[in-house]
Amino acid sequence: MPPLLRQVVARLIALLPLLLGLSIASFALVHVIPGDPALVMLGGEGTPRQVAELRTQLGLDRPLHVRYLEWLSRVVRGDLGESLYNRTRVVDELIWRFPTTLSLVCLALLISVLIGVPAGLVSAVYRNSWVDHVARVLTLVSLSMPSFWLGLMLIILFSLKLNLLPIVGYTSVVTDLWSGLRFLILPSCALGTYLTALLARLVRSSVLEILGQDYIRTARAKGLRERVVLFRHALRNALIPAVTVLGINLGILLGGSAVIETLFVLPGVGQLVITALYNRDLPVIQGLILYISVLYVLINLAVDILYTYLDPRLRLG
Amino acid sequence: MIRRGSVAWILGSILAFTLLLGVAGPAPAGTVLKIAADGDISDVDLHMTTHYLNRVVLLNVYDMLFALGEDMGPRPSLVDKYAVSQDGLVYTLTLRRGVKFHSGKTLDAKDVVYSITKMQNKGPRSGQFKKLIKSIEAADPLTVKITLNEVNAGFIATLANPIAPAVIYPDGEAERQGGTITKPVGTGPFEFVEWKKDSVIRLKKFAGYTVDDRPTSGFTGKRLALVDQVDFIPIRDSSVRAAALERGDVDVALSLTQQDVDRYKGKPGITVAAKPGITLWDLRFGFKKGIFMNNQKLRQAVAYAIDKEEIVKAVTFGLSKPAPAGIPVGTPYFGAVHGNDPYGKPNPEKAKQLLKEAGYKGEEIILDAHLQPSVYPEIAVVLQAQFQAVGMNVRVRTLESAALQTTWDGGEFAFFLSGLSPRPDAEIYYCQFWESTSTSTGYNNPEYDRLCRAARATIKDEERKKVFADLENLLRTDVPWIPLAYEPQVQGWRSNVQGWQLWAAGYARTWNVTVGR
Repeated sequence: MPPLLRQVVARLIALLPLLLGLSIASFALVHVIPGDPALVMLGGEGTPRQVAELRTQLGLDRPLHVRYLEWLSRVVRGDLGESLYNRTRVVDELIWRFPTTLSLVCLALLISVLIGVPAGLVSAVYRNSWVDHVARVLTLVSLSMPSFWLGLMLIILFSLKLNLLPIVGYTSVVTDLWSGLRFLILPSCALGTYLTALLARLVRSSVLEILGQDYIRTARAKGLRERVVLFRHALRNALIPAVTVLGINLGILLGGSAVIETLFVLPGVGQLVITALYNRDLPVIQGLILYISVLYVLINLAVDILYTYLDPRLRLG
Repeated sequence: MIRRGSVAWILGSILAFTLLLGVAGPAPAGTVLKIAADGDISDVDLHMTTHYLNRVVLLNVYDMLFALGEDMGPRPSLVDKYAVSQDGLVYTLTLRRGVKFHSGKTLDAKDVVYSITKMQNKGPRSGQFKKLIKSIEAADPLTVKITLNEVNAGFIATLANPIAPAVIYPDGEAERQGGTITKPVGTGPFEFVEWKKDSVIRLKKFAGYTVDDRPTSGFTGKRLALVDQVDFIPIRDSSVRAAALERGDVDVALSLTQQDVDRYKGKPGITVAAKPGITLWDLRFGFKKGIFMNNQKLRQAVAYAIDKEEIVKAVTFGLSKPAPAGIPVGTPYFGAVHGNDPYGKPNPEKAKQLLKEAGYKGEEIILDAHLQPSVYPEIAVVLQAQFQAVGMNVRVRTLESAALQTTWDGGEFAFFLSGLSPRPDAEIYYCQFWESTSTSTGYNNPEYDRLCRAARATIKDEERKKVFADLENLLRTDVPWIPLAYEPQVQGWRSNVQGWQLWAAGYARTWNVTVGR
C-alpha cells in the first residue's frame, strides 16, 4: 500500500472511536443543558400536564441510555433520525442544505485567497512602505469588524443605496447558478473579509521570516530572478501555515455560518444549527454534531495531505 | 517582482462580475403578495404545535369551527349556527353548506369528528380535549353533536383558541399522508403550494373557495383571496426585514421595531404602523420557592413599586399602553372594575411601608426574564431600577427561551417576566397559569380556584362578568401575577398594498388585500 493511502486509511479507522466518544459526550451534554423540546414545542403556553403528555408522546420520558442505543443503532444503518418538529429526516435536511453552505464557503474562501495571499505578499515585499502600512491598517480593521455588522453595511450599500443586489429570494446554485450567485456575493464578502485579513497577516509574517533565511540568500546569490525567489522559494513555504488556518476555518465554516446565513436569509446548515438549538430538536442536534465532526476530521486529513505536496520533507517514507 | 496590475485586474473582475449579476434579476411577478415574517414555520399540522409563526402563516390555509373575531371574542367560522342544550352539556353545531377543501372534497360532519378526535388523541391539547369532551358524533352530514363531561361556558372559546388551533382537516387526511400531515389541506381562501425551509412558504389563491357572507371580523366572515399568490419569507433579523421592505423585495414586513415607526415616518411609498397589541407582558411570582411564596405584602409592595407608564415610554417609545387588568381592554368581559387599576400609578411610599411590614431586609432577589425578544431584558432592567428606588435588591437573570422554560416549568423562580398571547376567553387569561390544577408556579388559592371553576360553570353572561370582576379583585389583593403593559404590534407595508389591516392580535391576514405593480 502506498504510504499516502496507508496514512489515509489509518486516519479513517482512527475516526471511528473518536466519533463514538463524541456521540456519547454530545448526547449526554445535550441532555444536561437546561431546555426541553416538549416545553419549547408548547411555546411557553403549556401546563405541566400538557408538558408531561407531550414528553410521553415524543418518547422523552424513557431512560437516556435506551434512547442513545436506539439512536446509535439507527445511525449505524445510515439513518440519523427525524426532527421532533416536522418529522423530516435529518439526512435529507443536511443533503439539501449543504450545497448552499458549501457554495457560500467556497466563494468566501476564493475571495480570501485571491485577495489575502497577494496582499500579504505585497505587504512583505514592500515592508514599511505606504503599501504595507495601508494593508496593515486594512487587515486590522477587517479583523476587528464583526461579520454581522459588516453584512448589514453591505446590505445597506449594495442593496439599498446602489440597488445592485437583492436581499431575499435565494435560489440554490444547484438549480440556477447565475441567480444563486447573485445572492451569495454579499454574504461571502462578509464571511470572507475576516479570513482575507487573517491570511494577509499570516502570509506577510511568514514571507518576511522566510526572506531572511539562508536558502533565500543562496537563491539570490545564484542569480535567480526575484520572481522565482519569491514564488517558488518564499511563497510556497509561507503557504504551509496559511493552509493550516484555511483548513481549520473551512471546517468551522462548513459547520454552518449561522450569523451570516441568518442575516442574508440563506437556507444553509448554519440556520439549521440555530433552529435546532433553539428548539432543542435533539435528533437534529445529534445529527449535526456527527456531520460537523466527520467533516472536520476529513478536512484536517486533506490539509495533512496538502502539506506533503507543499513540503516534500513531510512525506512518509 | 509581482505585477501590481494583476491585483487590480482581479479586483476589477470581481466588481465587473458583481455588476453583471446585479443587472440579471428575475422578471417582476404579477399579483404576488410577499410578506417578510420574523422566522420560519416549524410544522404544518397546527394540531401539533403552539408556535406563533405556524399560525400566522397557516391560518390563511386552514379554518376552524369558531375563530377569533376582531374583538378577540369567538365567532362562528365553519359553523353556520349552533345551539346549546338546557343543561349546557350538549352543543349542536350546524356546518356551512357547500364548503370545499383544497382537495375538492366537500366539508361534512365526519371531517369535524375526525379532526376533534385527532386532537383528543395526540398533540399539546390532547389532555384538555379529552377532559372536556365526552363524545362527538356526526348526527347528519351537516350536523355535529358534541357532549361535554361537565358544563363549560368557555367551550366555544376553547374551540376558537388559536394556540394549537382546532382546525378542520378532511376525514382521514393524516393517515392518507402516511400518519403525519406534511401537505396542508384546509378550507381557507389560500391553499398551500410549497414550503422551502428558511426560504419561502408559498400559498396560492384557492379557486374553489366558498365565501362566508357574514361581515369580516378577525379570522371570520367574508374573506376574499384578491391576490394569486402569497409568499411568506422568513427573515429573522428585523433590520434586514426593514431593508427588504424598503428595497421592495417584500410588500409587507411583520414584527418591525418601534424605531422603524420613526425611521419611515413621512417616507414616501412605505407605511410603518403601530398599535397597542393584546399580548400583555406580565410579572409572575413563584410559590414553590423564593421570597414571595408566603408573603402577600411583599407581592403588593412590588405592585406598588412598578411604574407601568415608564415601561411603556422606555420600552415601546409610547406606542403601547399600560395593562390595567388581567384581561385586555376591549375584550368581551372587560368591565368597570378592570379599568380601575389600583396599581395604575406607582406609589413608592406605600411600597416602602409594605416592604417594612413584610419583613424584607434587603435580600437579593433574582428576576428571571427571556433573553429574546430583546424587549424582555429591556423591561427587566426598567423594573430593576424601579425596585431599587424603593429599596429592593434585585438582580436580572436572562436566559434563552428553551432554558428559561425549564425554569418556568419547574417553578424554580422568585419572580418571572413573561407574556400572555391573545386568548379567546377571560377564563383562559386568569386560570390557565394560576389555577392550582394547572399551574407551574405552585400558586394554590382555594378562592381563586373556586372562581375559575365558576367561570367555566356559569353560562349567563352577566354572572360571568361578575365572576371575572371578582377574579380581578382577588388578583389585585393576593397578587399572584401583575399585568404590566401591552406589546405593540408594528408592521410595515408598501404603497402598492391596499387593504392590509394591522390587528391588535398580530397575525397576517392576507385576504381582502390587493397588490399593485
